[in-house]
Amino acid sequence: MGSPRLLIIAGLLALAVLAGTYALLPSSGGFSGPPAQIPYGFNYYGGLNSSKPGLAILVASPTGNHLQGVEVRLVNITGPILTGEGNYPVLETHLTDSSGWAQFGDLQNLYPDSRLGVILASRQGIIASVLTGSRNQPGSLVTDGGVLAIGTVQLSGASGGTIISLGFADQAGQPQSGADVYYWRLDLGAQLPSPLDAAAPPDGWNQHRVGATDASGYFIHSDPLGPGQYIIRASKGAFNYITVTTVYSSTSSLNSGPDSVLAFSGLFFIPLILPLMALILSYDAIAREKTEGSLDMLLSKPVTRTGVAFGKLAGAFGSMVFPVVAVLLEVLRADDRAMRSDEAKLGHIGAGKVSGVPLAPLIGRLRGVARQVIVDGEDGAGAGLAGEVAG
Amino acid sequence: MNEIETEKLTKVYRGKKTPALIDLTLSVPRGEIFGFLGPNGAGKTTTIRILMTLLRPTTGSARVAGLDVLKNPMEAMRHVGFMPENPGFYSGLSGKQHLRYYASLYGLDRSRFDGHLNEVLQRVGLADAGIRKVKTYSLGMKRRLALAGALLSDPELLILDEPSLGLDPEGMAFVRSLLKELQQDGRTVFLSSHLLGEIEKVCTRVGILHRGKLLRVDAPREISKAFGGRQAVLEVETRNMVPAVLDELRALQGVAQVEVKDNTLRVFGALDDDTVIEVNRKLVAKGVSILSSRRVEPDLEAAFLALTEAKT
Repeated sequence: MGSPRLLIIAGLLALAVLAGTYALLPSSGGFSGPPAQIPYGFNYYGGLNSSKPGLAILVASPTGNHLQGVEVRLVNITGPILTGEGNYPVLETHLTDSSGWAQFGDLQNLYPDSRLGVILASRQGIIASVLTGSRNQPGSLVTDGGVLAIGTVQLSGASGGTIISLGFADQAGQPQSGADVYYWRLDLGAQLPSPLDAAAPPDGWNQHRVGATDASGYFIHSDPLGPGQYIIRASKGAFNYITVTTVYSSTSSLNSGPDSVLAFSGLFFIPLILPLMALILSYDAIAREKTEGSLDMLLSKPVTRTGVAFGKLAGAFGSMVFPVVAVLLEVLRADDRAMRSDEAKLGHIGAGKVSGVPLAPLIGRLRGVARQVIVDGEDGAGAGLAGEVAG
Repeated sequence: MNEIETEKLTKVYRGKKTPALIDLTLSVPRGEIFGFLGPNGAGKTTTIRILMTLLRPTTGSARVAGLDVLKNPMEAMRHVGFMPENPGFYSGLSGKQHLRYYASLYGLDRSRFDGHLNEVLQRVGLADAGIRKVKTYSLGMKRRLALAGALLSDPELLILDEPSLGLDPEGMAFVRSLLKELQQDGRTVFLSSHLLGEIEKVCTRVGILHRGKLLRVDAPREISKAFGGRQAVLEVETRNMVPAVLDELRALQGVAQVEVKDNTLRVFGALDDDTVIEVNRKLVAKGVSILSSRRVEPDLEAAFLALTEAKT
């Protein structure tokens, strides 16, 4: 252990870099930014029985705000879709209109036998995909004559969850109001009914209705779904669409961008690096006492060796954990004040209330995190998400 | 009651073939000032480190203040004051802060801390230096601070490893007077040294350790006798040695042996001050020019060897 102090300096530098990256990275959503700025897409699969299958995308936030002017790209998925971040050739680019919709038409003729994907310019990864070509091609998520956009939203961030949020448009991409939305929950691992198109819950769909699309063809069910398999159905007149989404846990994985930095520090730095640094520090503290001879003086007093070792470890831990805890406590206190006030909007807590300007964005974010942790820990993800969506 | 008891203590350091300590069985009754005498590497510090729970013996057992140091180390350490051979301190703290820290380890009553600390500092002669940081201390001051640490809990038993090592004559005299004080208080002291002269002045009993073995435990006077003619040496450097004087010197009381080599005269024996003066006088009377004359400690290593050989 040549130079533990050097290692500690390196660790602190790493922490500073983390903090810096976090503060400077543009927010791409998640708990760190206001939810209203999280664009999300819902895919629409044109039925292949129709002559002109198309794709319509509604971009809305998890709070239900339709977002105008979002750049939506249609790409040719040449690589495996799971990687999600390939440099796919862009085929078309559209901006969402005032109701948040963007449409791509006649895909069957323009791009026969292709796997097409939709990417939002502001996000990485495919948010929707469609296959053109023969009807029974594996993986093609199509329904007979259905003209529908449907999707579940994975809210980003530690408190995220899956909510039902869907847009419903006809084949021409015109939003349709008044479509009934249902969901039917099955346990994880339960056998799904087959064929899915004809599936119905034992007590009938009417018992499972959660609402209908609004004038812009949009529906949101903002209570997050617990773990399970969800058969989600939307129907209007002759149009009927069923899809399945599986929710493995009430929280979702973290996004890229600042959140991932925070996730890294939260998930790795504090639980892994901090104890390691504490170990090194206490090792150093004991080794130095040994070489300098003060260890003999100490151990010849009525103390136990384990006591001394744990004391050193606790001291090392304490010296490092203290600032972290102090910041978190301050965050909680400020957050608590904010929550009591009328402006209990997650996205607005923090920055505006902290006077030290350069630190403000970082502290604002930390506050967000602290609150998530507490809410998640005490009331489960549901409460955390509800608070976020309500905000 | 015995303050220190060891039963067949043996220590073999990892990777070493010869044991540092072999079957040491020793008891030190209460009120004794026991001197542990031996050349460097004899196993004195090893024994002391085992007694102070700083080292585990390979086999054997040891009791301090009636408590087994292996089974009940923490309780045993409550009854001992210890001064290591090379005491180390936290350079950024003052002497007084050190004592305060040690006192807290003993769980001493906080209300009488300060008065007591000052008293102890006074006793070891650090009254004025107590508030200075230890990094400004001289070696002798550090050893005095270590002694203060040992005296702090007012223990019945003190274990001091080479207490006068690195001390100036004044410091050595101070240690001697302190030991006498402690003895008058009825406390038990176990100290180690490689200097016979130091040990025989203060100890009530002396144990001789050599190469891990306890050769002999006896009163200092008996130990001195055992060293025989090698007890002390007078070394006289001259410009012109006159061989005729040698017989006269041999005839002096207490002189056991006389050697001359390169104009340097060595006189062995139980040399008290009068004898030394007489030796010098005789040399001058015979016209020998004396460049220097000094008394040296006997070569213990050689003496121990002689002692072991005599036994076998």
